[in-house]
Amino acid sequence: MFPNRAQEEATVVAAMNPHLTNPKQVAEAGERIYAERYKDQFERDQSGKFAVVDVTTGKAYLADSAIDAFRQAAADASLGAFHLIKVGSPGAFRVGYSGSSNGTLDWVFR
Amino acid sequence: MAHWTGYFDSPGAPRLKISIYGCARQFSKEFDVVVDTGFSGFVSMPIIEAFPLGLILCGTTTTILADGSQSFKLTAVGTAFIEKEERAGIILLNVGSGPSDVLVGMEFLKTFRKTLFVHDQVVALLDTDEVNKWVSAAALEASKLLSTAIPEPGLHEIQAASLVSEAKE
Repeated sequence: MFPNRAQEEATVVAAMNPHLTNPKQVAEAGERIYAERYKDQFERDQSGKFAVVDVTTGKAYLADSAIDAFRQAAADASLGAFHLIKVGSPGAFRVGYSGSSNGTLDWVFR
Repeated sequence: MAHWTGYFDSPGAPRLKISIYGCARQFSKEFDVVVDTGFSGFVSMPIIEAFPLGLILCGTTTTILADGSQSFKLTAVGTAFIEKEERAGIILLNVGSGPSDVLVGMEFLKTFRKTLFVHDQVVALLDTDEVNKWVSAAALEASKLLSTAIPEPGLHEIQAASLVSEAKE
């Protein structure tokens, strides 16, 4: 949560950066907006659900499944830039592999 | 709903043939996917495999790798189908890291309501609702067997229990 309205607006404006064109910026903005605006509240009473954050508006959409959260977000903001989060978990999905010879990060996020 | 049959590949991973598409079914393609129970998502695939399918790019997400570290991924919406059953889900796209195979994970099994059964040379995906019926029936049968195998306490046992109780008092 934000200590004051001005800081909240500044965060939303930063998230609405017109240069937000690469996936790394979308993912980082999504994580930041979620941590600042929704994490405390959602982790109290929505743990285990999926949240899609539209980083162009700062709005979050909650559902029991990832696809339903995305459908809600896309229906409300078809031009949004979305970042998917699982409430109460450090990642939306767990995978069974770790780093390869190419590293752990896809090149679009480097 | 039908049961699906898969197979083990040479390294011993369970595999299944499924088809995937994005914006239109005419772009669907069949894949030999690995059923990876260590993956909690729906489908994961290299982005190069995703282009011809017309998957709808929908954003980004964070994944947790096996070593506990985090990694961002691109996500797309796609539909998977086998025979007459089809479901949409979020597909993770690997762009330069991650496995070269197409994987289906636990969300795939949950969405299609299938239970993975692996034994010896058998890979089968059974309907979860039917498996639940079998499990309930087996549990009922087991409880019946137990109740007949363990005799009701006789007079001696009741008297003994009563004496022990009195002695304690």
